[in-house]
Amino acid sequence: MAPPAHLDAQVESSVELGASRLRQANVPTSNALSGGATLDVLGDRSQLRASVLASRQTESRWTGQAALFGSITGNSPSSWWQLDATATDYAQTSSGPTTSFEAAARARAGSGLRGVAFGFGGGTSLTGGHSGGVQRALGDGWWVLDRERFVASLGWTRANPPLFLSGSISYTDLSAGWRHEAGALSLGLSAGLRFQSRGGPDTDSWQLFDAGVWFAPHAAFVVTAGRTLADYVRGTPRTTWVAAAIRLSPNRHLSLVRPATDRSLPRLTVARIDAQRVDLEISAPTATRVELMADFTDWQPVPLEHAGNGWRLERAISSGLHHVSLRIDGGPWIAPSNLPRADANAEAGVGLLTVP
Amino acid sequence: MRAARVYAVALSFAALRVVGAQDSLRFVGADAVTSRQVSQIIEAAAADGLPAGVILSKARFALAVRTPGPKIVDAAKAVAARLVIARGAIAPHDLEGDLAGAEAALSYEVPAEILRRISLARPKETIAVPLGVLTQLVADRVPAKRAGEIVEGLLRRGATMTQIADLGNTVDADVKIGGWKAIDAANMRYNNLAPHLAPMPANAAAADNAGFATSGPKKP
Repeated sequence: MAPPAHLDAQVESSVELGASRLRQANVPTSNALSGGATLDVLGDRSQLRASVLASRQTESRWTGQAALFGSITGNSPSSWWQLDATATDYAQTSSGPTTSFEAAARARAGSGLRGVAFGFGGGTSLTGGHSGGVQRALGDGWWVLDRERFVASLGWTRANPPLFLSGSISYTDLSAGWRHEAGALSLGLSAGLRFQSRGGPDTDSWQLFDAGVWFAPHAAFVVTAGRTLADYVRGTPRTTWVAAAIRLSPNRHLSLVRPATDRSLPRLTVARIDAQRVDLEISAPTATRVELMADFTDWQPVPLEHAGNGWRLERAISSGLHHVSLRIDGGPWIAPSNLPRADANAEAGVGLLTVP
Repeated sequence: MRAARVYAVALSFAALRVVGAQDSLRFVGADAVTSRQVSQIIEAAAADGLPAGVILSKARFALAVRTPGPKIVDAAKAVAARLVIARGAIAPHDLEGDLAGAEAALSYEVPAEILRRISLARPKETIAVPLGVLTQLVADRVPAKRAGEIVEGLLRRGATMTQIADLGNTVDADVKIGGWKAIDAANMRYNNLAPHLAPMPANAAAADNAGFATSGPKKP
């Protein structure tokens, strides 16, 4: 059996400029301007993510942070181990920077679509010439369903960072997150609970929300809001904020800016209802009669029902490639305008549809 | 005696099922010679363990668009031959949808080696959808090699069947409406999707832990 070929690395980079309204511990609620950059490199078995961010709240208060995260797994798709490393730095005017280094090893089970991982990690936190250790036990679970990704994690942390002057601190984090990526839109929501032994309330919570829309191929509008807890290891304070930013990327993205579509041309979309049934919808707003014939109708014409702005057909159809043809108002049989034509076999008027 | 009756009834039902299956694969509607020849091709394929319904469907389509009889016979022979190649290329995948997808890709001159790689990328699940998207991309004039890399990459990076089907069903619109070259549209959709997939989901959680989860200003 031939070994799998290496996948091309995927590189995504962006810069962001934005403004935010935020509240931090021991700092009056204020507005801030910020700028940052992010780089993601996704390899066959590895991932690298780097980000930097600078923020100016008042003339006399600046903050800056940088983070680098790397990871490598065993040979996919049957990999069972994963190694992670993280380095962070946080600094603000009138106080020294806090730098942290952490590494973790995990065992994984499942696939890329659903699975779990458990592991242990450790590292150190440095502030003003003092250092302290951190140990973590980590558990993650993930489930990808169509265009939705769900992640849940349970983690235990014990640390004696220099910033935390009362000795050691330990806490347990329980969190869950959801992410939706489709076309030009992305949405994310995550929340967590922290059960803490010392250094704050016994139980505390955090929430993050983000939404982004690519309004042009290289520009997105991003809104984030949330509440984070103080991170003594990385030196970041407890913060509540809402922010808006423009993200610019050299990579071309699906965007809301699309050339005008000739709406008179029929388009066919497909969505699976359950394991057997599929909903086919044809947009043909000016039509008075729409028929479909396909391999799954044994090439017999089937009239569609007019529903809302489109024409619909609900039918049991197997997953995979299907050949489809449409007839509008008794005219010629044509291929749906949004699907490739089956030209290679001289089957003009027939489109190729993949049913999920 | 009673056992013999039960046996006879069971045999009758079995015979009826065979007749029913043969009827469902019978090609009718063309001239007598064409119908007989196509039916023979279909029966031979079925006897060889191939999904004969794929041949029947192609023949019915050819009939529906009034293809001349000899061309229908030639098409049926070609489909049967490609199904044999497809079976070897994507083994152990042997579901009808998988073989039909592989046959369709071969009809667009996709090399069998590319089908083999896609088969290896998701060895325990049906690959009907990835093969369908492969065929769509090639039909849209994406070179077979690149189309195969995209589909294999999506599979190995953990894309769902819905995400893979979305790509195949939308690239053509990018070409016709957006004026893109098909390969550029396919690459863009792949490059947009890949970073959001979950090839290393635990990494995503770890990255969240590291404070990367939010975009834009964070923890200022």
